[in-house]
Formats: sequence, C-alpha cells, structure tokens
Amino acid sequence: MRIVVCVKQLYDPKMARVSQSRQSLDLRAAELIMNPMDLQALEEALHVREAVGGEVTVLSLGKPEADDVLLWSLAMGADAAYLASDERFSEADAGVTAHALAAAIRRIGDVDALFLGEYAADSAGGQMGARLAAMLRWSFLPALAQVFLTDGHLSGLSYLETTARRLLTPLPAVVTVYHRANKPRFPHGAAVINAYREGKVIVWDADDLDMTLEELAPQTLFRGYSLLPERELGTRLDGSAAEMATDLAAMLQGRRLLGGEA
Amino acid sequence: MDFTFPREMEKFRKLVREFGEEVVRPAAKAADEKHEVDMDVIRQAAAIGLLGVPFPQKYGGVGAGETGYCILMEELGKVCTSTATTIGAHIGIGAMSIYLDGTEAQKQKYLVPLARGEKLGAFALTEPNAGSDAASIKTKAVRDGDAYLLNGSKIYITNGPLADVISVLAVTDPTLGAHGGVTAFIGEKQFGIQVGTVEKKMGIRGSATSELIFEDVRIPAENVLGPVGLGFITFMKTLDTGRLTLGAATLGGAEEALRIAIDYARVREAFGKPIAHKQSIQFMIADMAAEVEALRSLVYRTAWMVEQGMPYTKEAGMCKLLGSQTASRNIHRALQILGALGYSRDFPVERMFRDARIAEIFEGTNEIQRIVIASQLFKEVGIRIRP
Repeated sequence: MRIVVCVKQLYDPKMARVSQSRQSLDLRAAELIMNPMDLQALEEALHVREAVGGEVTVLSLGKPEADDVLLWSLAMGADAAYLASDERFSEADAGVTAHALAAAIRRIGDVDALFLGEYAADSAGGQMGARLAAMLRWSFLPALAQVFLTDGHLSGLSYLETTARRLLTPLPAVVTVYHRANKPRFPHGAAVINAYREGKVIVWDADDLDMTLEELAPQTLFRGYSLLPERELGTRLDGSAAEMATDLAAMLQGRRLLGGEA
Repeated sequence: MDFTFPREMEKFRKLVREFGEEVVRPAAKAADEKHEVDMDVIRQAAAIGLLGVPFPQKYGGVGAGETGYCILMEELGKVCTSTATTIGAHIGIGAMSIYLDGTEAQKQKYLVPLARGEKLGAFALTEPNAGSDAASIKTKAVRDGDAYLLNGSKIYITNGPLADVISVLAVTDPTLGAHGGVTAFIGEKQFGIQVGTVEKKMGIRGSATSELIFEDVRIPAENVLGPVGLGFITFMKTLDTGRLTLGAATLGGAEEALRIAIDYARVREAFGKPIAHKQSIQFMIADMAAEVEALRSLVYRTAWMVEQGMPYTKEAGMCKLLGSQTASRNIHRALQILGALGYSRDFPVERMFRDARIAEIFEGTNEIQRIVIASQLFKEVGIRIRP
C-alpha cells in the first residue's frame, strides 16, 4: 500500500496584508508555512498507514525552499519525500501544476491512493484533486473524513455542502481530506532534528518528469489582484434602549430591510 | 561570526512554540489556580521528546544539545513558568546530573527512562540549614554492606511529590567537609524516600515543591553518582547548566512581557490616541526590548560555549542573575503599562509577576550568583575568594 500526499508551501494568509491600493498583497511579514489542510491530509494518510501498513510518500511542487514542508512531513512520519522544482514552474497555473504532479506520481510508481488537502489556504482553488483524478483516470472522493482502506477499496465520509455521504471506491483513488477531518499530530523532537539534519528530499525538474512544452505552458495568466474594499465602520446609535430601537427600525426601513411603517 | 540558528534548531523552536501555544498556554491559568501540576501537559510533552531535549538520541533524548534545551526553556518560559520549572528541574538538574557524571550502566538504567519521559526526575540538595552552603549538609549516608543508609531531610525540592528518580547529596565523611566528604547518589522514590510538607507558594503554583524525608533509606552502592566524596563537584557542575537554562526560561518571560506591553499599547487609548504614542510608554518598551536582546545574546552565546566544551561557570551565573532581573523588571513594566488590567487575575501578567520572583531565589540566590561571578573574575587574576 503506497499513499502519496501532495503538500503545498504557502504564505501564511493570516499574516498577509492588503496594500492601500487594494491591488496587491504585502507578504513581507508573512511566514512560509505548510498548507494547514495538507497537514490534515498527511495526518489522515499516516493514520491509514498505522491501520493497514504500507508507506506514505509526500510530494510537493515549489521553489527549492519548499523542501521545508517535505522535511516537516518526514518529521511527522512520512517515509519518503519528492520535490518537483524547476525555474520553468515559476508561472505554473493549476494545469501545469497538475501535469507536473501527475508525472511525479507516475514516476514514483505503484501508488494506490493520492491524498490532498481539501483546498489551499492561499488560493482556495480546490481543483488539484479533481484535475489529478481526471489526468490519472482514477476515481475522486472529495472532502473525505474517517478514511478507511480494506480489500483494495477506500471508503470514508464525504462532507459536501450540508450533507455527509458514505462513499466507497476501488483503488487507485484520489482523495481530498475534509478540512476538519482530524487534528494533526506534533512530530517528535528527535524526528524534527533528524529530518532537517539529513535533508532527504529528492528533487526532480521538468526533464526528470519528461514534461512536454505543451504541459509546461500555462493556460491562465495572472494579471494582478483586485481585492474587495475594506468594510466601513457601521453607524453607532446612542440614547436609551427605546430611542436606539426606534432609530434602528427607522434605519432598516429606510434601506427597505424592514416592512411596515415607523 | 554567525548568529543564525541552524535550520533544525529553528524548526525545533517551531515545534516547541506550537506545542506551547496549543497545549501549555491554555492549561497555565488553571494549574496556577488549582496549585497543582497538570500532568496531562507533562505527558504530552514527554510523548514528543520534550523531557529529554539536550540528551543524545542513544540515551532516549532529542539530541538538540544545550542550544535546543535553551530554546525549549525560552518557549516554555513565554507561556507557563510552572511548566518550565517542572521540566527544567527534571531535565536540567535531575537527569542532567546523571548525564554528566553517571556511569554507562547508570545512564542506561536511569537516564534513558528519564529522557523518554517515562519517569520524572528531581535534584535534592537544599536542607533547612544548607543550600548553596553545601558544606553544612546534615543528611548522612552510612555504608552498610553493598549499600548506603541515608538519613535526613531535603526541602524545597522541585518535583519532590512527583519524581521517581532523585539525585541526592549526602555526607559520607563528616571529617572531610564539602570537598571529599559529601557524595551524590541516585535515589528512587521506591527505595522509601518519603514526601514531607508540600509547599504553598506565591508563584510557580503549577509546579510541585516539597520536603523529602530519608529514614534509613537504603541506596545500593552502585547508585553512587560520580566518585565517592566528590558529590559536591557533580552537583555544582549540574547547577551550572541549570543556571544557564533558567536564564533561558527568564528570557521567555521577559519577551512575553514585552509582547504583551506592545500589544496593549497599540490598542489602549488615552486622551484620544493609543498610549503607544506616549513617550513614557515608549521609553519603558524600548528599555524592555534592549534588555531582552542583551539577555538573548548572553544566553545563546553561553549555550554555544557549553557545546564548544569551554568553561562557562561565570557566564551561567550571569545568565541566571541578568535573566531573573530582566524578567522581573520587564513584567513589572508590563504590569505598569497595563495598569489595573495587569493587576487583575483575569489577565496573565498578574501570574507572570508572581512566577518571575522565584528566579531571583532558586538554583542559588542572585547574591550567590554574584559570589560565583566575582570568584571567577578574581580567579582569573589569581585570587581565590572564600565565601
């Protein structure tokens, strides 16, 4: 049993600031972190491995410093780590990324299941799982929790909208792990020290992955941000409770949010 | 010169910081109020190796050295001084004494389970009439066949009620004094060491401190730690590392006070604008930050000296002296900036204020640290100071 978990390095969205012009993000104070949803995908995969054996391999696409999320994954218990990294990925859109990851998964070989976070906390595209399933022609189970593996089948509870459906599929399969599926473990201190001292990450570039020029060509172009205007401060009401209630009712009626007359 | 931390140390800090924020900080207030150790926090810390941080992995440790141990104490010092105290006494003086002077067999038997956090350690030096004045120790160890019989009592022992393994100093030859007449032993609670009075404390109430009573406690001769008669040296060497890492814990407290002060000054308004715009506040915060940076430099340079195998007794005393003063001063200033909110039990500064005071006292009072520092300074010019 081999599970590959895709993990992504991103700027901590909690520490990103929107510029005054609302046209760009100031990331100077933001730290690079592992996508929190990918931590949960990894935790779920480690959990499955503990139940049925096998190995967990982590895979990322990014700049050389993205090895950080792979080394942290090794500290948490992953068995092997691969980084797809190439200057030619610098403009990669979701399509190019999916081509590269699919090529890496084929090259790793003998993969039974692919786990990803439900979506990435920065772009929140949530399309990588579906794209990879389509490219690999594997079945796709979205937003899964309580993942079990038995007799060549994978099952779990799929949380979409307001329903949870129990799904079962033959392997191989692509799974995105529900963003509240589990609480990722802390790695052991010695595992952290060893993972970062040893630095066992295998790096593949686009040639290692036999990617064609077509696969490397992005289909979408990033033109810039246009962020929603900041919310303005509301109106503050003063006076006694009765006065404030009357004012509030009048305001709501003025905006046609309440029926009747003042 | 290179003042950056190696990558594995930065990541080890990330681990400890996340553990501190998610597990230790939320439990700190209740442990203080209940006046008891939150053993669930200690068990969770043990599960990820935090009870054996400086020790080599072959002894069940994390292998993060003195630098990693300082990182641990700094991060714990930010969120809960009690937890830093419990783990610090376990690692820094309890297990450390065995790591420094234990035989290979003693390390396998005692250090390994201590480092893994399967057992909790303590270090028993202080007595009603002896602490830093180790020559006045009254606890006696008398040879009896293949063992020693210990009689006496130790007081103010951190982890006393909880510890399984206790390093203890006792007189083996009253005619020889501190050098030659006192011996260190590895005791086990199950040898019959009794827990006496448990202290009710002003601060670090989430740690446990007690008297330990020895009445004909039989300790096998193979548990003598270091050479017979030279236990004082073992204990003083151990205290050197304890003082360094205590300095690291106070660094955490001093930083936390600074962080709280800045956060509050940004948002609290007086006379129409945040108090961050008042010079009286700015001056306090600038002093706090400058002192934190001075302490950080001293602590990590001293950790580096330990790892280089250099002598560091003087610097360890300075870490403890400067650290305890900096933490107390910074928390005092933060409390002033927060005003009544700082004085309220609803906010952690009040607890930090009580917790910080002990660092000026335990592991040798600050007066003793000054004597240690001065005696090293005069030793460098050929003069031997007698206390």
